[in-house]
Amino acid sequence: MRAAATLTLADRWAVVVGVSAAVAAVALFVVGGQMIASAGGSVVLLVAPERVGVFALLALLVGVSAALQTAALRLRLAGRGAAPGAAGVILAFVGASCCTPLLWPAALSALGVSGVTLLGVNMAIHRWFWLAVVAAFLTLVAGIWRTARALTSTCNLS
Amino acid sequence: MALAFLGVLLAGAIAWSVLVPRNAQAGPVRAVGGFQRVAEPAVSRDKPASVFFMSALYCPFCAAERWALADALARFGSWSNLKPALSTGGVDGFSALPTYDFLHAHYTSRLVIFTAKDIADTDGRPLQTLTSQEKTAVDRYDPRGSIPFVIVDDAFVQLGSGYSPGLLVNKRFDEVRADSKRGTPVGEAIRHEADVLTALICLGDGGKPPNVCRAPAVEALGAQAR
Repeated sequence: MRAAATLTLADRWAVVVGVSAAVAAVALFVVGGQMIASAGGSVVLLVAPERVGVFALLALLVGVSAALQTAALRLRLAGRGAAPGAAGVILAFVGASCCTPLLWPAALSALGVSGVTLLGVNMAIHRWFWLAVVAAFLTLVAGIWRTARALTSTCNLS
Repeated sequence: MALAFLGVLLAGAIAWSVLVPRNAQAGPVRAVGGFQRVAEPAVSRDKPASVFFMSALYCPFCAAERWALADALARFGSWSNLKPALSTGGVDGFSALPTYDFLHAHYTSRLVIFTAKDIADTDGRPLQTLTSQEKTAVDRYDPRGSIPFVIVDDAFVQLGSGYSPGLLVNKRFDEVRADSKRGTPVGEAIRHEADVLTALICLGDGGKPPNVCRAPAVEALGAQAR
């Protein structure tokens, strides 16, 4: 893990992509994650401490995952190592999808899903929120671990 | 890369859904308070106005809106078995908020047909189902499936509550009920939202009863909504 972190932090682009991904994740959570609501025509910011903590942690994991994958991919493109690892990419993708359950209504609405269907989606999200968060956390951590292993093997090869 | 793709996809979808209104009626316009006018109100002196309220028992915004609805509707008819209830603590960062229980209450009025549907219980489990007519209204005017959803006389729609549930935090039911008759911040907020609802109902029922619909605050809000 330490070797993977050193390789990633040495790559300026990987750091930029990681930070950008984390910031984008935070912005998406705030805007699309029902943390802003309307009441009487004015905007109300919903700052539930446990939800803010969860989103901050998941955004951090998204950032770390994106940075590691960028570093691994750039090493691969430079011909100095192995691919970032399909398992890591898939796990990161699943984790990022799973950790954004509150964004699904907005995304599904854009795809033309009906209001009544979204009502059901919103109810399910409310009910299963913590399960989705735990699943997201586990898959993101697994994705980070797989990508870090791929990076370490790159380090060993070179 | 997969994450970047997902981020772009989600950001695009959200921007699209936020920026592009999907109400079937072209160009809903802000009427009064948090209400939008989605159709011309069908003014009739012969038929009652209609009010549809869709909410969930866990939802703090629904808890806030029930206070104003209960007050406004009491001006046009009478409630029975209207008892206190609590929203679920921790939802959206709010503690359990005092509210009314519409699920077991009965409302009678010659002037207003009121329908309330609680679609989920305090744990978020499905509770009451919508009729096909109600589903059509949700699909048309609530494209993102948000609650609370209020529609008055098929012409005025509000998504969300008319004031912040934050005003009800750390208050007991009796305190809020007493406040609603006084000039406290929560009392003013409830009264204003009740006046907004009253004005919209008055537009639909032909201005009856006159002592309610001709109150200065209600008339002023009605003029804004027209």
